[in-house]
Parts: sequence; structure tokens; C-alpha cells
Amino acid sequence: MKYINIDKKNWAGGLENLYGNYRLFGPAKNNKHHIFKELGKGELPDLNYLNTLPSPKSIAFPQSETMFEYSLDENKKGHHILKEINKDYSPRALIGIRPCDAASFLLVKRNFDTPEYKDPYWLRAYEATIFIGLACSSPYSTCFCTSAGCGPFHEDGLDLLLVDEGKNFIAKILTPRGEKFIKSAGWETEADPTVAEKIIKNMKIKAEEKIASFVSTDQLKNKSTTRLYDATFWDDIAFACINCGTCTYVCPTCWCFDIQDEVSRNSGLRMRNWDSCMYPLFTIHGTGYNPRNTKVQRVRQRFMHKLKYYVDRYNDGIQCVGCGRCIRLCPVNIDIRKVCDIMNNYGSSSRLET
Amino acid sequence: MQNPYLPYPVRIDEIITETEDKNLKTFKLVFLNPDDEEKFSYMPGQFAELSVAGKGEVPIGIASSPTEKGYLKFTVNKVGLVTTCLHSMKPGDIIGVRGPLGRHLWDTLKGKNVVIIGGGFAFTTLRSSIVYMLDPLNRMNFKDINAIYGSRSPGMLLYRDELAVWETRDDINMHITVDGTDDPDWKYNVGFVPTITEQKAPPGNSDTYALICGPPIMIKFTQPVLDKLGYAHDHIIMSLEMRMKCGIGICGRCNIGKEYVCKDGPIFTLAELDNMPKEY
Amino acid sequence: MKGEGFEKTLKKNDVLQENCKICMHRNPVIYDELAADLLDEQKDIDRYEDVRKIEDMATENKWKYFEDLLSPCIRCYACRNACPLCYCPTCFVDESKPQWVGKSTDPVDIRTFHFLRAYHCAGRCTDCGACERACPMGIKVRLFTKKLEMDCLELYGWEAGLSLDERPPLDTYRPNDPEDFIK
Repeated sequence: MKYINIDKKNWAGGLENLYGNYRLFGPAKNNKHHIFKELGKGELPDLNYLNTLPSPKSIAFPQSETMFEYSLDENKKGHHILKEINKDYSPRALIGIRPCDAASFLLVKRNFDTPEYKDPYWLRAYEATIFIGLACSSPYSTCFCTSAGCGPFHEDGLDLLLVDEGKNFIAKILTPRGEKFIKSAGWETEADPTVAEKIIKNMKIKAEEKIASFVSTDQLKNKSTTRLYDATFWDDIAFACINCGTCTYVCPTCWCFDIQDEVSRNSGLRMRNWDSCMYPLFTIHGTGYNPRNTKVQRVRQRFMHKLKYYVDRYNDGIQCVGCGRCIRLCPVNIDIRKVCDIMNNYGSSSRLET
Repeated sequence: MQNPYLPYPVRIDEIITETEDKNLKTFKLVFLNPDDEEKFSYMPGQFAELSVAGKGEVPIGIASSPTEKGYLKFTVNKVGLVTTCLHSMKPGDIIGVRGPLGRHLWDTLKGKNVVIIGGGFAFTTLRSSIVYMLDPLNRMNFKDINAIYGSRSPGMLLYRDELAVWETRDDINMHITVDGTDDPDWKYNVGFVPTITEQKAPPGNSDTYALICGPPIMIKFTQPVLDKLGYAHDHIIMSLEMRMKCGIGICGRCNIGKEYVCKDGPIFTLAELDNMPKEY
Repeated sequence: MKGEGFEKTLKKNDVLQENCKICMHRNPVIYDELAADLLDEQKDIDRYEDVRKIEDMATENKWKYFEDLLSPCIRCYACRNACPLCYCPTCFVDESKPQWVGKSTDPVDIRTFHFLRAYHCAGRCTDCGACERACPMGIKVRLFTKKLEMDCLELYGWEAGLSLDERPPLDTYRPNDPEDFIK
């Protein structure tokens, strides 16, 4: 494994070298919180942050994205026929993404990149993106990544992991793409791998110790889907929910979308927009019949999808990376950690079963 | 990379009003690019997204059979935004077709007795299945074929001319029924689909499969009849209806349990449905 | 407030919600039983300082201000769903026949939602602050509702939520209602 020492004095210069070769995206302060945004020339990512408020999923899955365009003008050739649109899929670098969010891209990839169908929009954007992670040394109290299949120094999904050592970053090169990125930046000072590894290992242990909350997921696979579905605890879980959908919008692993046509005069667009299983419109039929008409049904759908249906379908972890955004931002304090434990323990003690 | 969201452009060739309430119209569609017809290689029971520029898409079962070349047929009930717009269109108009979507179970049905049970306007993919099985090149792949199809009244039956022809054939036992009629010349059955099923359907066995498609109320009362006739749940094949958008198992909307109805269904055996949440 | 490795004393007024800080009706307007003694109401409070600041802006600054204010909106509708005033069976943004508002993140559609929501609550909003509290993006959505609250007070002498017997001003017509907006 190769490690590079990046003196922070050379940070801005390196990014300057990268600018033009990559579209650079990084955390930036917006109001009181951080978001991921495209960085202009000379603009530096603000790496002094815990995590962005919205997840960086929009890099590959924008909240609104145009799919096709068409003309409704019958005098024009090819009217009413949908046409693809050229998009910018030039290389882009996501600088300073947290390991949990990087892991979410791998998880979401299962949905957009299937053996039968490939979602070209998500996949092209994903393939154009190089992931420069920033190891996490001060988690939120709501973080539970270590028991959700990743961790503050997790490397899956990253091309490069940056570890902040105060005056410098140690960059751990994880893929050839990461190596190419480092080279284009001109950061060349190799670090002694044994020393670097030791430093990172120690920091990693300390960071993991700071993760104060956990979920247990070991029994989810064994539970009967229909029994969990029919359980009576959903009424209590859903009681306070106002069905706002914040949890799904800020979640890095929620991928559901709607497809809509928008027309202005004679030119139209077909676009897709984020959608949410929290909304009644999500499942309502044209006839008005809605198989998920009540709030309890919708809350159940969200948790069952993340913690049971996903588990059953892919047999590899839960559809959650433990970033804690839904817990922090829920207006009524619904906590996925509690729900996960209730589901995981369901049926194994009489107290929880009722 | 092929874009699975891009519809094939088609021209509306013919529009047939099917029912006396004029709420059901059959659209005969012809591909603008002849190559697309080959790419759109489908089996009965599958569906497609009909795309109306400016309005959106709607998932509709394919009513034509792959044995019918040169066109596709869809029978559309006027319900929402897109279907209402479709009903106001005329031959020559350009729309889009995206698919074929969903799975089929014809490998399972090969060499078996097939009992088709349909009600109301849900007979579209069943029509496709019948036409497919009765094709001279396919008929020997199936044993006995029974079909029970009912609607509220004679005027609400789809594909009336074809039904009459099937009634006269000896390679299919056709049982047409209506809930009621005051037509003195009505020469077929009168009674609800479950009742006629009980009277006419062959008993269940390992070589016999039932294909049911109809309104929830019909399915609710037909299922006990099939149980009584001895049909195992993995020999009863049904179709689910859910709100859909992408049709390819990606947008998440039609998720029930670990399945996406659009991609993993919409056809499921009752045995499969028994293990899924009843959220449809 | 205590946590791992820190202890901090906060002033109540620094952490109080914005709407509570300027609340003029701290005592319940109607009650069957009173659980504690009545409080002195706050006096010398300027409820509309922020609104007037915006009103005083030049048009283009005002526009920019609202653009910035709404730019983080993700259209989750948490503000709407948290609002005690919402009662429509189907919200206008959820109607499909006809569809009044686009569903994308087009700024026009986002503004339409927020402006219409505010107008819909005009004369009924008591500034409970639930909308602002629920907003995951920290948008000060009360600025819209407060402007209309101020107008209702100045034009009609109306404060919402004080009487069960009187209809709100936008629900009634009186011959002497102000009409100088008709040019």
C-alpha cells in the first residue's frame, strides 16, 4: 500500500493543479450547515466539518434530473419523440467525502446497476467520479457506522483516504484512479508505509471508540417477513411521524424517484425527481385506491425496506450506513437505531413482541 | 450504454372502442423504426410503459400476442392523466412504447393444462396468452385449455368477435359469462366468474395451472373455489397491479417485500404471494 | 448543559425559539384548567422588525434575499406537514388533475409552494413556529407567514387564535375593508 504525505501548505496548490483535469466537488458552508458543491477556481473545500447536512448522493443522483427532451410542435421533424440529452460526464472528484457516505454509493449501486438493467444517468455519473475520502475523527452522537457495515476510517468505495494529521494529510492510495489523482495534483512526498499505517491504525481505534451508539442486525435475516410486517409495534413507531419525508431525502441510501413530464409551450422535458415512500402519492393508483394509504403503512415500508426487504434481497448487510442524518433531522425524533433493535429482537422476548 | 428509459417511437394505427361505456379502447401501434419491433421481443403476460410526450407514462399489459406480427395492441381503461389523454388521441398520432417489462412463466406452463380465469377489463394479457397458445406452432405445447371470462354485461366484454370464434373451436373450452343480462338472444353463461369456475373448471392436479386476472373482488371469491377444486398455491398464477414509474425495478415505487412488482412480477404464483406482505 | 468533557451554562433567551422570544400571548387563550399561574405578558416587543427590514430592501435585493432564503429547500414539505393549520384533504402541490405546481427543484415551483402556503395561512397563523422547527434545512419559513400576520394586524386589526367566535379577515367581507390596493 502506498502512502503520500500532503503538507497542508501544498494543499491549495495541488487542487489548483487538479482544477481543469477534474470537476472538483467539496464541502462548503451554506447557512449554518455544510453541503457538497462544485468548487470554483481557487475555491477550497471546507474540511473543517463533521458531515454535510444533505448527503452527497446528489452527485450521481440529483434531486431533479432531466432525462429526455422533445418537441410537441407538429411542424417539426421528430415531434413527440423523446430524445437523449448530452450531459457532462467528464471526470469529477468528490473531495472530503466521509467514509460512511462513500460506502453508501456501493450500496446504492446495487439498485442502479443490475444484471438486467443499467441506469445510465446514475452509472455514468458514478463512473466519472473519483472518491477522495476524509477519515472521520469526531463523529456525531447519532453516528452508528461501526455497526452498520462501515466505520470512520472505512475504505470501501474510496479511491483515496485522507487522514488529517494536523499539519499534513496522510493520503492512503486505494485504487489506480486514486494514484492518478495524486499524481495530477503533484503531491509526491511518499510516507514510510510502516509509520503511516501505525499512525492511521491508532487514529482509527480512537475514532471508533468515539462511536457511542450501535444497532444489532444479526437476527434480521432470520425473521419472517410477514410476521415483522404484521407486528403491532409499528403503531407506536409511526405515532409521532408527520410524513414529511425528510429522512428519505437526506438519506444517502434512499434511491426512490418519480418520473414527470414538464412542458413549456411546445417544448417538453421528461425528468426524474427524488420521491419518498413517506408520501401517500407514492403508491396511489389512478383510480384513487392506495395500497399504502395510512401513515403507519408508510413508516413501516421505509424501515422494512431498509432493514428487512433489502436484507432478504441482497443478503449482505442493511440498507443503511449509519450516518445518523435521519435521526438528527427528524422533526419528531424517530430513531432508526431503536426501530432496528425492535425489529432485530422481535419475537425473541415477550416484552418486545407485544 | 443502452438507455432503458427511452421509449421506442410508435404510430397509432387504429383505435377500437371495446365496451359500451366507451371507457376501454384498444390501440393498435406500429413501430416507426421497423428494427425496434425485433428489439421489442415479448411474451404474453408482460407489459410495457406507454409514453405520451408531455403527459408521462402508464404501465399497460400487452394485449397482442408475439405470434401477431407487425403491430402491438394495448387495451387501455380511461382512468388518470395519461390514459385520458390517450383516449383523446387519433390514428396517426405518435406515442412511445417502452419494454417489454416484467417476467413471464411460460417455461412452467409448457406441456400443462392451462385454465384461464379473467374478469372485466383485466382480460388483455389473457387474450394475448390465448392467442399465443392457439397458434398452430404452439398449440401442441399445451394440453387442455379452458378459459372462463366474465364481465358485468355483454356490452362490457372485451374482444367480443374473438370470443365468439373461440367458443366454436374444439382446441379450447371457452366459457363466457356475464353477471346478468336482459338480452333474450344471449347464448352463453349467466353468473359470476367464481360460480362458473366451480362448474366448468377442471379439478386441480400437478399438471394443471390456473391463470387469474381480474378485479380484486373476483379474485377474492375465486381463490376459495380453486382451493376446493384442489389447485395448489404454486399452480395458481396471478398478476399484481401497483403504481409504477420506471418499470425496471429501479425507482422503488412498486416494492412489496423484497420484490419489485414491475421487474420480479407483476406475475406471481399464489405461493409466492403467501410469503409477501399483503400490501397491494 | 453537560456533556463529555464540557459543561456550559446557557442563557434562556439565547436558546429560545425565535417565535417564543417574541411571543405576545404566553398565557393560554382558552383553557378548562390552568396548571400554573398566569404569566405577565411580554411588553415592548417589536414582533416585525425582521419583516420591516425586508420590506425596506430595494426590489432587487428583496428578490435576492428570497432566492437565498429558499435555495436550500428540498421540497420535503416538513413545514406543511408540521403545520397545525393544514387541513386540505389533498394539498394543492399534490394535485395531479390539474397539476398546479411542477415537481422538480425549479425555483419557480419552490417559490410557488412557499408563497401559496404562506397566503393560505394568512389570518390563521399564530406563529407557533412548528414549520420552522421542522425544516431540516434550517430555512426561516416564518418570514413569509409573519409578513402576512403583520398585514392582517395592520390592515384589519386582526390577531389569529384569540377568538372562537370571529371569522378570520380573509374569510369575511366588510364594506370598510381596505381597498386601496385596487388601482
